[in-house]
Amino acid sequence: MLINSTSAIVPTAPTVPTKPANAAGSGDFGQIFGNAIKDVNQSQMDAKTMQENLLSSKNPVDYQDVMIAMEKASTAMQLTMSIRNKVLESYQEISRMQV
Amino acid sequence: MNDLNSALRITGSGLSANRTWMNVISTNLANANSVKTGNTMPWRRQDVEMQGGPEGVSVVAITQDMRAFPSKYDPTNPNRDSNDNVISSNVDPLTEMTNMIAASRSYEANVEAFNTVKGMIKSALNIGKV
Amino acid sequence: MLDNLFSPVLGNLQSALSKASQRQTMLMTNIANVNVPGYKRSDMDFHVALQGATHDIDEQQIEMADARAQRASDFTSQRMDGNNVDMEREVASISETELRFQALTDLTSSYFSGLKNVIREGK
Repeated sequence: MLINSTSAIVPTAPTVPTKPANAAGSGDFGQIFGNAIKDVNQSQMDAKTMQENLLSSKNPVDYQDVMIAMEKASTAMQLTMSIRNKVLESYQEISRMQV
Repeated sequence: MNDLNSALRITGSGLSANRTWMNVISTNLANANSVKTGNTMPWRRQDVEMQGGPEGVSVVAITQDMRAFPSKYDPTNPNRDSNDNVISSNVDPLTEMTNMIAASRSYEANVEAFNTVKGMIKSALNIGKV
Repeated sequence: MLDNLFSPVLGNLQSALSKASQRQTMLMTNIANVNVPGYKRSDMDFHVALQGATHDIDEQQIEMADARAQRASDFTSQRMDGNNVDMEREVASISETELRFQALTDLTSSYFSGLKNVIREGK
């Protein structure tokens, strides 16, 4: 059947400028970075939901929990940006190398 | 409702109930000297009935104190009745003063408690602020 | 990835903050009910609760300590109307709880600013 045959197709690797050799780490860096972005996004959505629930009576949420969720989201964002910057730096350094 | 919001609401109910109580006591005190004049009875003391629980407290009723009006023999008093007695209010100023002290103490305690919770909410909202 | 970013310390701080605000609500209830005949004060064993928040003691022990405290409270009666709320004691407990809450929020802020500093240093 058609559906069975599509599941046999190996998904193509995402196209990302930096792609260090697999031997250097556990899996494609692009995927890892993509997951990190998803995590950051999720944590920001969680923080937003908690803010909305602050005054709701259905899912009561404490003030400190909201603030902590916001801080977690902003810390995660900062970490991800930091990783991105470091990776860009390394990429630029590598591309500057005379081969 | 989260804990801190509940705390505010509960303390708020305490403020409200004590306010009502203080009003009742003040009215008693203001009318403590009333006497029976003609067919008008003197002031009958009022009290509050408070009910409470985990949700807070409220005054559920303002009750009448049904104890007898004091009667004093005073033949020279212009307000004397047919038996030369003066019928006066059943408010005892001493009791009312004692209650007033208790009511205002608990009102103040509720105010302090309310402000404490406000402070805690501010602390929580300051998490992460440099 | 993010699950490993924040240490268990943060969870402990959050639990402790939660306990403190729960306790404050119980104490508020006591103050509000100070004039209600027959009302018995309720409280938690704060020390035990905080230790539980750092997972030194398990939930069962906490519940037992709370139940013991409540039973003791139910049988005390200081006034003719059966109410056993001692205003001064409640006010003192409220102050103690507030200070603890404040300390915990300060610790939480320090935790995050420390973490962010480390991240920034790596640029």
